[in-house]
Formats: sequence, C-alpha cells, structure tokens
Amino acid sequence: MKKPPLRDPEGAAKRAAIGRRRVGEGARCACGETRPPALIPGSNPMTCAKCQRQRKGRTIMDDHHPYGKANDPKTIIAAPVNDHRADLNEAQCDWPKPTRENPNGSPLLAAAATVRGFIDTVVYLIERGLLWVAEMLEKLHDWATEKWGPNYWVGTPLEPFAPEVSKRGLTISK
Amino acid sequence: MPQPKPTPLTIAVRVYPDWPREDWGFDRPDRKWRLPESGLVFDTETRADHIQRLTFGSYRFVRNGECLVQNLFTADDLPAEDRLVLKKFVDGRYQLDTPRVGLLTQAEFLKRVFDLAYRGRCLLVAFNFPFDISRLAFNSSAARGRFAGGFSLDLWSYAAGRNRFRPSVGIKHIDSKRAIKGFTRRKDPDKEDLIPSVATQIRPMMATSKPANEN
Repeated sequence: MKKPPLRDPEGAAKRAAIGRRRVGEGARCACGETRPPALIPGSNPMTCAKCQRQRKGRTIMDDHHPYGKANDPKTIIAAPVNDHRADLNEAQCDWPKPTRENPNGSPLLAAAATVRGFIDTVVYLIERGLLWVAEMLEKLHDWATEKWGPNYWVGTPLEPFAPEVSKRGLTISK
Repeated sequence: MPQPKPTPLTIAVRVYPDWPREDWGFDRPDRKWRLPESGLVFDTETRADHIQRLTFGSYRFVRNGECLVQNLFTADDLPAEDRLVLKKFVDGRYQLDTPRVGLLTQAEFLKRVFDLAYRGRCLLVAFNFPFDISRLAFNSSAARGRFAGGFSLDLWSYAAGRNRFRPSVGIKHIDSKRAIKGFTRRKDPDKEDLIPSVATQIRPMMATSKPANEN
C-alpha cells in the first residue's frame, strides 16, 4: 500500500538517517526486526524493544496517544511497542510541531491533531490489520488455481461469492 | 645481393599504462562507502559584477532519484523589488512542476543544509561547489588540520561571529578542477554526529571518532 505523501520529507530523511546511524547500518534483531526506531541502540547482540521486553517478562504493548499527548492525554490505544516506535510515533513526527506539541492548548490545533491522528491510525490499521489478508487471499488463489484449475470455486461453498461475469468478461453490477 | 647496412635511428617509445584495476586498490584506504540515498542539489545566482554577490539560489532535495522538495532561496540583502519578482513567481500560476516551488530565506536554506547534509549526511551537490558554497558564507579564514593550506568558510553566524555550535566548510584545492571538501568540527556535537557513516558494527554508540561526512 502506498503511504500518503509526507508533509516534511526533508525532516523524515534526516530522522531516518540519524536513526540508521544510531543502531548501525544493516542492524537487525534476531526476530527479524530491522526498523531502526524499534531497535535498541548499543544492545549487543542487537535487540528490538519487543524482544527486550519479552526477555524481561514485561508487556510488549504500549499505550499510544493517537492525537498526541498534548492534545488529548486521555485517549489511548494499545499498540505493539515496535510499531509504536517505528510507525505511529514516526508518523506523528511528520506533523507540524505546533500541532504536535500544542503548548498553549489551542482547540483548533487539537482538532487538527485529531484529524491527523485519525488518518495515521487508519493507515496503520489498514497496513497491519487488512493488507496481510489481501495478500494471503491472493496467494491462496494462486495455490488453488494451480491445484484445481482456473474455476476451482465452482461447486464449492465459495461459488456464491463469485462475481457475476458476462460472456465478455465484464463484471455486471447487481 | 648484399644486404644494406642498417642505419641507426633515434626512436621514441610512447607507453600507455594499463587502466587501474579494481582489485588493486593499494593507493586508496580500505573503506566502505555507500552512495547516500538522498541528495541536496543546489545552485546559486550572483550579480554580474566582480564581487559576484549572491542574489538568489535554488535547490532540490532528491531521494532515490525522486525530487521531493524544490525551493528557491533569496540572499539576506536582496532588495525588496527583486524579492518581489521571485515571490510573484512562487505565488503565481506559472508553476507547472510538482512539487511546488517555495521561497525561503538564506537562513532557512542554511538550516536545511545543516539538517540534511551535516546531520542527515546526504550528498551535497553543486556544479562548482567551492564557488557556490562561498556565495552562502559570511566569513572565510585559513583552514587548519586536514584542510591546512585551504580555506574555511563559515555559513552559520551568531551574534556577529561564527556559530561555534555549527561546523564550517573546509575546502582544499588539489588542482584547478578538484578540491577536497568537508565539514569541520563543531562545539558540543550530538552523539549521533560522532558516529562514522561507515559504521556497521553493533555498538556504534561507543564510537568516538570525528564525523566523516565529506561530500
């Protein structure tokens, strides 16, 4: 899935470069995590926050403030610590600084943060919660086609879900 | 038939050396350098007189071959009427390129140079870098250390002097076409700025070497 364009690509590039340098080029946790914000700088062997917490017997979930702590300190959602650090917090770093920090408690900036936070959260949920389902279904389709032919669903419980297709191969709206 | 007697002649032999082979590498230090994925490409425009004072400049921030940001920047002392011409262009409907061109001050552009080239270590590209970067500098001095024999350009000022918390740009010419360029040290650098670009070890935070961001 293509992410929405960054508001501040220069700042994102700087943060990414510094983050990579902090943990070292090509750093990777034993679990396969490679996103620099999720890795613990200076750990030997290189460990991600999730594995470190598991080893200490602590929860791997973080409380994430989707609208920013300064804008809405009460609303929190649970997010895996690695995703919290590498995806959700990074997305908030792309917000304008006054919106993210809202030092005077402006209601308009708080509203702007709500919109931005909602978009970031939805994008994250689509990527983590939905996209894998689509990819799995496509792989399953390829596997079933190879095993039972191109019309493998005919005569199975899947048949009612098949789209109505005309002879020319166009989908007919119901 | 008798053979003619050979006549000695003076000849010259022109020798063409082999192209250097990649696997020799004895004349260069053993270092791994990776092309940064992003680059800041800039150009400056100057007055046509002998002082060649900066009027305005332009830059593009490119990542993986894609232009993400492009802006113009004006000299701090650019007259208001000249600045208005650029502002009209930026605000006008003549812009067909994307991303849209914005207008920055020289200080705003230099902040980006510091953030992207020094801290982010992207490539800093100019057609004639020593000339272009010198248009942005407010002071120059004889360089020391690895740029000894060259000169040092101060880009960031503070209270009518050099900002010691920002690096200078050292330039040392090798010949008429080539020069060594790099950032010099600065006071109280961040820990991340002390990590060499080539760090592949697992404990880079322990590194204490000087920044190695020659671009």
